[in-house]
Amino acid sequence: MLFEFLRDHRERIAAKWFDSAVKTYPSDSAGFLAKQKDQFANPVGVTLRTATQRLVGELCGDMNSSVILEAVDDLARIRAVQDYSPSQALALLFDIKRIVRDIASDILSDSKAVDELFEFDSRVDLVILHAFDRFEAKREKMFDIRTREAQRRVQKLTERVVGTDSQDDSV
Amino acid sequence: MSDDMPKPEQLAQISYGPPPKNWMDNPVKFRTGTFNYSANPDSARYVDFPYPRKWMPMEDDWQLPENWQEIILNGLKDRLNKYRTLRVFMDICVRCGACADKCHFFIGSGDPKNMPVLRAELLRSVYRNDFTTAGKILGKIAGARKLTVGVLKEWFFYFFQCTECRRCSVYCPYGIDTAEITMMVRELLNLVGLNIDWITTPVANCFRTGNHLGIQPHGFADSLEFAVDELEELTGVRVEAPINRKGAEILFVAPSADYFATPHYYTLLGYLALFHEIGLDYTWSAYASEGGNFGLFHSAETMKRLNNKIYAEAKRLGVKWILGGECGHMWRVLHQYMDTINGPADFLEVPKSPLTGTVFENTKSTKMVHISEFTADLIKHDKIKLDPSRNDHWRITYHDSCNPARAMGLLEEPRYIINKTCNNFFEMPENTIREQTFCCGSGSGLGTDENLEMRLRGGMPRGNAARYVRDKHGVNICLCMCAIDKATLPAVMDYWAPGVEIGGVHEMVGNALILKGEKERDTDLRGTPLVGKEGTGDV
Amino acid sequence: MRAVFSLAVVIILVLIAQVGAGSAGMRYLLGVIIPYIAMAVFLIGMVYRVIKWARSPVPFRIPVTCGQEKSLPWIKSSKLDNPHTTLGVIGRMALEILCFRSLFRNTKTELRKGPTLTYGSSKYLWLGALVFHWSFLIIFIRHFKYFTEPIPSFVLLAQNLDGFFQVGLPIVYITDILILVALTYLLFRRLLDAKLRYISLAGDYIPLFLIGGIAVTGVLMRYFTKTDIVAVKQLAIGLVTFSPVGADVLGQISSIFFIHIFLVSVLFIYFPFSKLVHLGGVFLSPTRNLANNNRMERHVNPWDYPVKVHTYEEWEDEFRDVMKAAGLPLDKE
Repeated sequence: MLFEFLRDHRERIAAKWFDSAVKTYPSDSAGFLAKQKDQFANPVGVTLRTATQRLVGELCGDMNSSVILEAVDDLARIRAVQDYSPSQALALLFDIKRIVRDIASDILSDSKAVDELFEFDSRVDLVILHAFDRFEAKREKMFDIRTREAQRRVQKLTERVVGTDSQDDSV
Repeated sequence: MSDDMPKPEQLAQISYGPPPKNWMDNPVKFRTGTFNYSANPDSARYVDFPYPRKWMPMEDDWQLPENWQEIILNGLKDRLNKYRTLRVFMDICVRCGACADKCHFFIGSGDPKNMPVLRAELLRSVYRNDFTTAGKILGKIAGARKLTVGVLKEWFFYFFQCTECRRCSVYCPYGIDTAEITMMVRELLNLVGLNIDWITTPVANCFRTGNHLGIQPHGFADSLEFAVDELEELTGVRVEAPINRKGAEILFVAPSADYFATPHYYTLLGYLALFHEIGLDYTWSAYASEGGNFGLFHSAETMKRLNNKIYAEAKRLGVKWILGGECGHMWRVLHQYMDTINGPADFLEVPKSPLTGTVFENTKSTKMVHISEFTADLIKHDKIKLDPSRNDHWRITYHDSCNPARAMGLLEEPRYIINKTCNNFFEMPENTIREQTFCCGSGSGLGTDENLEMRLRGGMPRGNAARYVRDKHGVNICLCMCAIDKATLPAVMDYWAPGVEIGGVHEMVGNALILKGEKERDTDLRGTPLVGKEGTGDV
Repeated sequence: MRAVFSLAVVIILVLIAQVGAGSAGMRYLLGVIIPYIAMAVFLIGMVYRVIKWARSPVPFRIPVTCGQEKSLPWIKSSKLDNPHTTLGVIGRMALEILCFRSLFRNTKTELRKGPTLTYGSSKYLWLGALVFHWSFLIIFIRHFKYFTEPIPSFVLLAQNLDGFFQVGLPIVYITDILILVALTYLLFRRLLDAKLRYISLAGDYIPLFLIGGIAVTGVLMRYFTKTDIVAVKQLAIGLVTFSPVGADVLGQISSIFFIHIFLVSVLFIYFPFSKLVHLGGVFLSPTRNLANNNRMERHVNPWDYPVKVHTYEEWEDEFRDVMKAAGLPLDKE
């Protein structure tokens, strides 16, 4: 019954979640992130919005893993290059628990709903675990990019001096 | 550990709640990954930059000269009297906010001081304090503040976080050009020895050897030789790459990355093949072996010192005119500054294509032609044979590099060439191309690895648009005409739009160009198999 | 905070004028002396500003190009957004100054797709700014009727166009409504958009409140509290003919007029010291008022000076041995 309730209020939940995610940016930017809806002029805001919407859909739906992975990947990609520690970067995902408790407070007196809440929480946990993986992968990706960029910068020089064979072909 | 760990909500609120009421009271934090390291004192000394010393931005003490405030304020006064741009831009901003969300760094970072208007206010506030009546009397109410070490650090952080791309200036009702303001502040910072290494060392190298990497003349010759060999392997045709040849008709100048970095290198192969095929009477120069000019990112004087080599060499070699390769900021200098700083080029002739007879009237004073103008003219007159199907393994989009777009307006020539040499061309969304193009996030000397995080933030809008065409049209390569783009967009794409490679316009020309006496071409200039030549097409 | 401060400043100004209008001596000050001072400060201040700008040279020709350059004859160049002739520059400047071309650009491409919220709002900035500036100009021209006798035809034309709809008695001027709407929009935009609030200084709110005060007192005088127009015109003509009226005429004018003229005077005095100088500065912006003919005609930098360079001879001296070994041509063996 909780899931049914959540599905009915999916849009409101997603909107609240997006709001709380945007609040992790300085307040003067938050307005811009929330209002500018052009995906090319405002990739951060639009990504946050789409990712939270899709995650809500799956959390109270059938937990399609490819959708979830894609959404947390998009989120992680953006948060990993901004001024956040890993915990700060992903804290916004925990907010969904609070948001759901607020919205569903009236029906949470029902024990069946509480059981479903436990189920919901473990779904969120799963999403967060994935997000940690993705976040870490993005940071590693950056190290990889650094190395490859350094190689490319002088690639032909190195090939000429050291010989082509010793270079891995990063093309 | 768990004791220190704040709860998620708390954490979000504590660290990222509303900033202090006034932006002036919000000091800058130097977090690794977001800023550039300071200049190597040896490089700075080599080119006579003031106060060379060992210091680092994240250290508290920047070892400033005792009278640093006086030096900077005098420097500002001097520049206010020398540049109308600076004087007018300091006075007329109405803070309408049209520029605010146009900066790629603001879009990617959300840091309000990356709004162009606020970036300029960092300087304007000091200007008001020391150079305007209202500021002197009313102080903070009039938006004035004193020049302190904190302000200086803020300048260093944010003006080495502007890529001088001029996108904001397009939208400004008064044409206020943040690039110009950034240039001024960087000059001021230089006066007290605050330079970054990724600019200073290339400048020193270029001054000494002729190119940013410090490749000496024989190394340069070897590089071209190597490219000639490789081109022969790929096409079966042996081309010439003459160096310092007196009496050639044309001097060709390209950014140095073209002959030692990838993917620039494939564009070099494209030039070599093209020049051979049309039998161009031209020469490279080992002395002027760098078209790029990191002096532009340092000061007008340094720009002039480095750019000097090009005309000097054209004169020494006795060429008739100069042809320039694919590069962004190189063309900012060549188009908007060279004639003024090192002209007049009265010893050269008005450029005329030896093949088509076209006189490049638009270059009659500077006497330097952009290669895409030259090639577009060749193709228009059917002077070269092209097989666009040799680029069929590429699904292409085109990134307008900032300077050709917003300092020249070189928009149609590259598109014409791409359309004639390739079959699958898809534009990125309209507000991300042409004069509205997004910077790679690494221009103006910021394309190094220590600030990769910041660069990736800045590259996000571009990457995001590329990702859109990748998903919609299966785009797998983004072409551009800029050495910095070619060096840094691969990182941006790798992160934001994996699967999109970076290439040059003349790389596509080289692929499509049918050379007389060529062998059966199985691969493109990268060695990638052509469609139909290797089982299934690997699109 | 900065908005409240600015509002307070304007309210104090209103109160000063209100109190001052009560005494004959002060009336003379508000109606005659201060307007003269204001005019003098404005003229001298603006001339000083423009001279100061103009005295700084333009060392480099750096237009920001917003369209295709003039290159090959068969490629259509963008004559207004990337002009290469003086005529083109005049066209570009005219579009910029009369139509706010750059602000309009804000919306151009974004209209094409998707949800409308921000495209709307950035278009509103263009519209708001345009409506405000044009209304201001027309109102300014309309006021010439007080200073001239006979009234020139262009003033009457502006007045007739402005009152085109013939609504109300006295006839409602469209610009009176438009300027108040535009000012309200520009003010609320600054207050409600977090980004703008963050960048706004007191100097951004003061003009809005000041001009708002002028507009409101003007509207009150025209439509609600009647003022002795004949006396006002006598005062105005007296000012421009340098034969200011005496206490008798000043005594016939209602006190709200003195608030109006005092705020106008303050605006004129404030003008040269504030961001309002963009009125003049926009003409002098080198990224807009220069032709992109950079490679066609040489631009001269008046303060150009010789710099230390690395000459070919020095360079060859340094690398002669390696060049020789590599078989590169040399000037000196």
